[in-house]
Amino acid sequence: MFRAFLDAFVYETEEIKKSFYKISLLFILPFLSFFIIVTIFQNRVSSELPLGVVDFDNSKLSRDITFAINSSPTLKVINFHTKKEAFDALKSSKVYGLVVFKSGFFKDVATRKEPNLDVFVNSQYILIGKTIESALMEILLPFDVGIDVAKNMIKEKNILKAVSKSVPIRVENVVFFNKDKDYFLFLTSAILPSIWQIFIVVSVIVSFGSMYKEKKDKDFFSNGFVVPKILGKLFVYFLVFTLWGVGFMFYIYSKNDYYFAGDIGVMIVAVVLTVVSYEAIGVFLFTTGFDYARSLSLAAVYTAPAFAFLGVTFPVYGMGDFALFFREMLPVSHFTELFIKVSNFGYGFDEAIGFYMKIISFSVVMIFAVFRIKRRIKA
Amino acid sequence: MSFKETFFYEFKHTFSDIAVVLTIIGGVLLYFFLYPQPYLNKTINDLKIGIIDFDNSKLSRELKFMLDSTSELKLYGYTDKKSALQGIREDKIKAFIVIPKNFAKDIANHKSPQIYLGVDNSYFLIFGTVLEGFLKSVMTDLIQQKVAYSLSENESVYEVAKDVSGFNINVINLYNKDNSYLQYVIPAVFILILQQTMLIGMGIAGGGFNERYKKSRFVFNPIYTIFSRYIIFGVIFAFYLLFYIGFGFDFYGINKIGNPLELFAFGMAFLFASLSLGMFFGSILKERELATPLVLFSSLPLVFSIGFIWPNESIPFYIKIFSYFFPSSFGIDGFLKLNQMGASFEMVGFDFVSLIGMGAVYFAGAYIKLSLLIKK
Repeated sequence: MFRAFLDAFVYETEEIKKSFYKISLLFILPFLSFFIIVTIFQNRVSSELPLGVVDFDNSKLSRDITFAINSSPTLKVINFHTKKEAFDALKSSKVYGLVVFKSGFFKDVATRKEPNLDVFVNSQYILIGKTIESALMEILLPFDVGIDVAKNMIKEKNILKAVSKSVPIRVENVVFFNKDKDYFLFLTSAILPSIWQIFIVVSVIVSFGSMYKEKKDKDFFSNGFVVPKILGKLFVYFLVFTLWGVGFMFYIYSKNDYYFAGDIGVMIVAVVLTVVSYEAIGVFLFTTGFDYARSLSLAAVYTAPAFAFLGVTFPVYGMGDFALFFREMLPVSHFTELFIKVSNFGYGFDEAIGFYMKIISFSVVMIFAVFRIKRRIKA
Repeated sequence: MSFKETFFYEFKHTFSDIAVVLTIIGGVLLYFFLYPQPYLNKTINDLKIGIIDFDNSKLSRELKFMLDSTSELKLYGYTDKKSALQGIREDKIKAFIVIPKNFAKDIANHKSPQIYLGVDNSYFLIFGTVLEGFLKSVMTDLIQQKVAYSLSENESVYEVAKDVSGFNINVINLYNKDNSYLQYVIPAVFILILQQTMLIGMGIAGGGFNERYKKSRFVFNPIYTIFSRYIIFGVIFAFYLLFYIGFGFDFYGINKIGNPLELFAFGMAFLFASLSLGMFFGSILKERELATPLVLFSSLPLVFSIGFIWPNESIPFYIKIFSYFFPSSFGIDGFLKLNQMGASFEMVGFDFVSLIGMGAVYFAGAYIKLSLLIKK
């Protein structure tokens, strides 16, 4: 029985060596995909986003505010002379936001008329819009309050009392994990597993699909030992994709200044279980019709949208019932959730068991797959 | 083969191939339904946060009540920081607020009490919401406090109201008023889906053609083959374009402010570029089963290199070059500007011309590849 497993393993490695396509699927393409993603987010925090300023006021206050905005690492000021110029720039995405100082702005502030300072933000690009909004708020609020402090100084003649009159409540903001709003950590810990699971399922389907297409299945399954042979064939992919999984995890961990609250062993087990489950799913999808191309289409529908359902770019508690259901059906969503809990909260093996159970439960489809393969051999 | 014979040949093989049909009919409709699912709730409400009140004064209870009444937040009481942190760990709350002892007293005595806000930034898009909601509430409270305090000094309410801040920061969210994720993602993703499914469909068709040609070298005219596939896939996907933008956008409540004629012209340019890439892609595939995986793997890298999630300014230029090989980069960029942001056609001129140029280049590539096939 072990002999059959070993033979199948060797057979598969030979098949892979013969095919540049299969070598690409296992090594070159995953590397390229991962490389593109990590490179896109290498500037980990968004910086120098262009922001338009139209200053009809030209006072010390408006110039001070503009200078403060430009000094922020997140924003870069581009000046416009007319509103039309500025709005056109917004529409063509030359700037992502706009600050407009009306004529007489400073005068109104000084005479306590409390004028509006209009801030336009391009919210079509939500992530970028939110980044700009919060960066601007951080810069503008002190000016807002500062004016108040100055006014109160006249009354109170004591800076402490003046401050407390202006800002009766201070907020001490403590952020756990991801202090620097680091997109890299946040997004790559979801995007990389999403790509990884596509490769696992596709590679397995290609392995079986090409074998059946080339009519090599009869020879492969001759003289029995169906299960060990299937496992041997899958073992190559198991090794490769477990290595990829552990690899990208270590990579993310190294980029996070080696901060990992929990035990990396917990995640290595998760990687193994996830690879096993997706391999089972891949074989199962192929055996639904033994149609190479069609099973790839099925795999595409199941694996391609996964990223959106992970609850990383859009929170889980905001999703509807169907979305939550579909999410539960994806092993990668449980994997990603566990990854964040282990790396941030330090979840241990005991707390990970629930996740392990959810992930490995999908491998039960292998039973159906084996049954169908055996039935086809008999036919 | 004559053009008519070529066309029927292509037509027959396209629609008798289950994989192609599944992709270009089932796939498009399925993705139309599936992709927007996570974002259907347009705004996110009921963010669970914990609150620890060490003051227990009338004011602190008012603050709690005010926070709880906002639709964005849902409050849960905790007795101390440790149990609140455990609450975060167990995913019961995403953040917590601590109101210190003597909070109300400090405010009355002109001392600035400090509120502690602990936020789980693992999912940091949530952070923005919490902070926003909290700040709004605190500022409102701040104003009310000042009014209450100052009234005791016999100032008129109007004087006091003006006293509160120097200027009003008036934030106007353009193009997507409610910061709706649906509005943000769907217009771009639908265009990408059209391109990817077209690529897969034409890839399977082209790969299948190459496989059949290898077995029995029939005579064919590359130009006829190319035009036949352009017509077959072009008609189907032109229909899909209209379906997505017409019915699809209305169905999901997505804004449409583009000029229909301009959108149509731009859509045709995008279609031409995608058809050409599909044709070229199909011509270089040895096997039809190569199509789906290759296109699948490019999807996520493409989504992020286009510049609507992660800004162009932060994407390295060589990654942008990778994205420029695909019509989706110019297509999505131009389409978002035209239809969601109300740009004029001149503003998307570069995208338009690039799409047509790209279409011509890939057309030429497909022609050359197919001609080489005959020569062998």
